Amino acid sequence: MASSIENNNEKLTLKSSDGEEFLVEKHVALQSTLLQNMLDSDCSSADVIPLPKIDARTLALVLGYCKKHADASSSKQGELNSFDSEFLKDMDMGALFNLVLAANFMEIKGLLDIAAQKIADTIKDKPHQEVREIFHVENDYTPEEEAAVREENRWAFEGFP
Amino acid sequence: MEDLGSTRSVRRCCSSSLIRSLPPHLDRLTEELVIEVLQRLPLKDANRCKCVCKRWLNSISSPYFARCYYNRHCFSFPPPFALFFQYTNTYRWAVPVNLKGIQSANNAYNHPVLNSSGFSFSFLPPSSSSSSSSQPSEPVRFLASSNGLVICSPTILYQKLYYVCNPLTMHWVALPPPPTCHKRVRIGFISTPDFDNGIISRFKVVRIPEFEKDSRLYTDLSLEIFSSETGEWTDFVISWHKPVFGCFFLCDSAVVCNGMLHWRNVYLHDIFAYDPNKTANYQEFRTIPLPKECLNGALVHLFGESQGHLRYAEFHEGTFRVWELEEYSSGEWGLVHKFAQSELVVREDPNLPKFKTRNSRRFITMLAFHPIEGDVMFLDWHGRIFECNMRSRSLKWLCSLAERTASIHRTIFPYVLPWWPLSLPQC
Repeated sequence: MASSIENNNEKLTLKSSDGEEFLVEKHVALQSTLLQNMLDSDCSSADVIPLPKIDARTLALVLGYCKKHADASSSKQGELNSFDSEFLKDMDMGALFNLVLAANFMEIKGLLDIAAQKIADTIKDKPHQEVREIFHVENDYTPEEEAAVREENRWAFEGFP
Repeated sequence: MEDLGSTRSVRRCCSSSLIRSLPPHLDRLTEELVIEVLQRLPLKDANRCKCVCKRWLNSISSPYFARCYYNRHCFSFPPPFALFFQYTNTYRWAVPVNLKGIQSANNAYNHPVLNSSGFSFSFLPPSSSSSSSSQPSEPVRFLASSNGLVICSPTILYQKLYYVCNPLTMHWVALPPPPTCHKRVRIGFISTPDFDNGIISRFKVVRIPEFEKDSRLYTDLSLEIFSSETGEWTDFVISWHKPVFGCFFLCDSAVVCNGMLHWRNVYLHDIFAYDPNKTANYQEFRTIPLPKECLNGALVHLFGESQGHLRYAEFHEGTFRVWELEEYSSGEWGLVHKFAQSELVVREDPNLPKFKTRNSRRFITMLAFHPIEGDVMFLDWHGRIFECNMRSRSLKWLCSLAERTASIHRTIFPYVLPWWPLSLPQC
């Protein structure tokens, strides 16, 4: 009996790529399928779990998201939705990209979903040259090649100069 | 041990706006995550991104992307849908060059996935058949559609040239000329979609040439079938032990349902169903009797498809009746809607109190069933197009035609686009 209560309060330690440690309640960590699988596969919670791809700033955000979603009862979907949009509001592209990378690595589907959607909403209606800059993608087309791809898809460029 | 992690993270997330972005080289997404983002864009935005770089072009053009896009959106939204209608009178030979042949109504334009300002066939080559300078070229005629593809022809009478095109992406192929030329033909068009790979794997065009005499029935039915797989027209003859075939199909274009083509047979009060993908004799066609209760004398009727079922409707003495073919194999119809014109309430058009009057009856035409919403059909009344919700008995004005045509119901087509445009097979 006592042990089950203890189990509920169990905590684990996550370590970011830049060496910062985060103590997390187990039910919060379970929002991440990656951590859930690690815990299921007999990984001792006394160990420090390194997350080599996620820096402290991003990890703090991720855990904030997980805590809110773990603590909220399932009946409060509306509250969670407004938390989600508030959570991403004013976040810049760099932070969003890091969140997408972290959510993907830690397998937090809900977070990946809202962060990817937020990026999509931001680049929607933008000319492709601007999208290129936002994603830091190098243009490897010659002007002729780019014009040919554009011609092939001219229906999608309606209203774009 | 102090619980630093959780409290800390909560504080951090409140100040997320202060977090600065990392240097560019660190925050690049992998190809998988780029696709994760791009599949959430509306259709045109996603396709514009093909111009970003070659890697993105390959990603967005891949079957994997088409599959992701389809799976993401098909559960969230019904597919984009438009009602196409052709302005010009079907039988008028010369029309002004600047008259648009096609206009469309309804939600395709502001569909969350599509967002378009409309379609036209102006991308097709100008018709050469009317090259004499006194006769301006006719707009291309919409004949039938299937999975977002449209078959059209520069002429209604003496069709010689057919285009299969996607009016959204403006990609098209011209079919080789059919083996014969007749004044009138019935057209059936059916395509096989492969949503997983974002392609139309094949399409078939069926032509039923007119018979020598309108007034009699024949035991043989000649068909010409074009298959995109062979790239050729092939002749077929269907024979039956008694004369059942004649120049009887009221509608020029077949209704596609259940992988079969359907024409309504006016004189015999039934539906002729044909499967162009089967070639064994007798197996490939059947007849489906119309609902027993429907009236022979009703002058206003409609035959079409909605939600994967054939539908038949009639409007007689102020009452609408709509049947659905509930059991395709047994030919079992069920009455799904029955209501009086007087029950209909007009929304959003102050000019319409007259709709309920007795005199208005003869001007009502049933245009089409909504292919996705089973409770909705489209009506024409004095050149105005209405969406009629048969459950709530309400009418919503959609648009008014610029030009009245006597045979509007023969030139109107429900047109459904797939969530992701399917590319044409090579012919």
